[in-house]
Amino acid sequence: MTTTPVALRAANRSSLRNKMDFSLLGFQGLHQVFNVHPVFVHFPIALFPSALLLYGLGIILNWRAACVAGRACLYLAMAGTVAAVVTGLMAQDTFPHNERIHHMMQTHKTIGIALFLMSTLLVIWSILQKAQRPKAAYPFLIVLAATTYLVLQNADLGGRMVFIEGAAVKPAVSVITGEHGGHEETHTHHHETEEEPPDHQMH
Amino acid sequence: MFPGAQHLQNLHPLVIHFPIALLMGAALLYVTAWLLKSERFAHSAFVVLVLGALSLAVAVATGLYAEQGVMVSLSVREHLLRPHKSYMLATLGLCTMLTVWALSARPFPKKGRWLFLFLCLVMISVMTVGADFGGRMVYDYNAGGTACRQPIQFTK
Repeated sequence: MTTTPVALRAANRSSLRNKMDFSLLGFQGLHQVFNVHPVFVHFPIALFPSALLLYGLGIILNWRAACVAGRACLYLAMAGTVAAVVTGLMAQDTFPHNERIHHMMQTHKTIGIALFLMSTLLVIWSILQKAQRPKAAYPFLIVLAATTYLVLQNADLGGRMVFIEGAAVKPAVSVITGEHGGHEETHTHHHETEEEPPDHQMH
Repeated sequence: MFPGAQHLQNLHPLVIHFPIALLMGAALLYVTAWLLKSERFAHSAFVVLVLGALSLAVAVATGLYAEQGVMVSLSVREHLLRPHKSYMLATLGLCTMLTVWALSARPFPKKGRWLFLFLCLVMISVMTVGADFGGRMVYDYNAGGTACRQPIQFTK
């Protein structure tokens, strides 16, 4: 069997189209998500541990350059925390969720606001420095470590909401709203009143 | 300690935050160093770039490891996972080149500085497009999650 050059070129074009579909570009994911909170959460999650690592090296080894880089990471982490908290607060009503997700979301929100306060404290503390080393360096490291732990804990909670409970995951909407199984009820927000935690356990 | 992490199908979602934030942070710090002509910012940018490069290597390695096992339909694999992988491998190539360049003329190359900054921005753009594909897999197709039944077929 012989293949003509024309057929070969057509096959190559078709193969290229399979390999690279340009219609998928244009940040469609950003347009399709329920909210932009997931875009900003990367910054505190990555930058607080980096700040801790660099400040730790800088303070313990008396390495000035590491303290400078740690300070840069801390400032970027704080900016990221502000963006994540603001978009998170805006996001809470943008996707359908059940009581279980709502319960997790309240804790996630409280920790997020606490992180904002702690990061503000750390930034102010880092300004009070001598040769890039914060005053009371070891207590500073302890507060930074506690902040990093809280960030990771909150990220874990956010991950559970998305990956396990399906919060803001489009195909999970029918599961969350009870179209499959019919035992779940969509949560409506009444933030003025305290709500009871769900009585069923996480699985 | 971290119950959410125990439920994940793979480690990839845990590590992806680091290259995204650190490489963007490094690019921002390099641009600031260039605008303010600041050595201090340049040193910080260099350290953050090296950390970003290391974390990117880990993210790519865990991504390649996760590729076979992640529960997504063939159509999602074809339309989203494959371009995600290609963009992130391209990001790794660019990042390796920039890191080697920065290491050889640390902290901020003087010769070809414009090209260095331009390539930093190209790397960030390629990574952002790649991350967008990753985000679609998670939020549109529950990739790596257990909230809904697979396979979910790709729809544009």
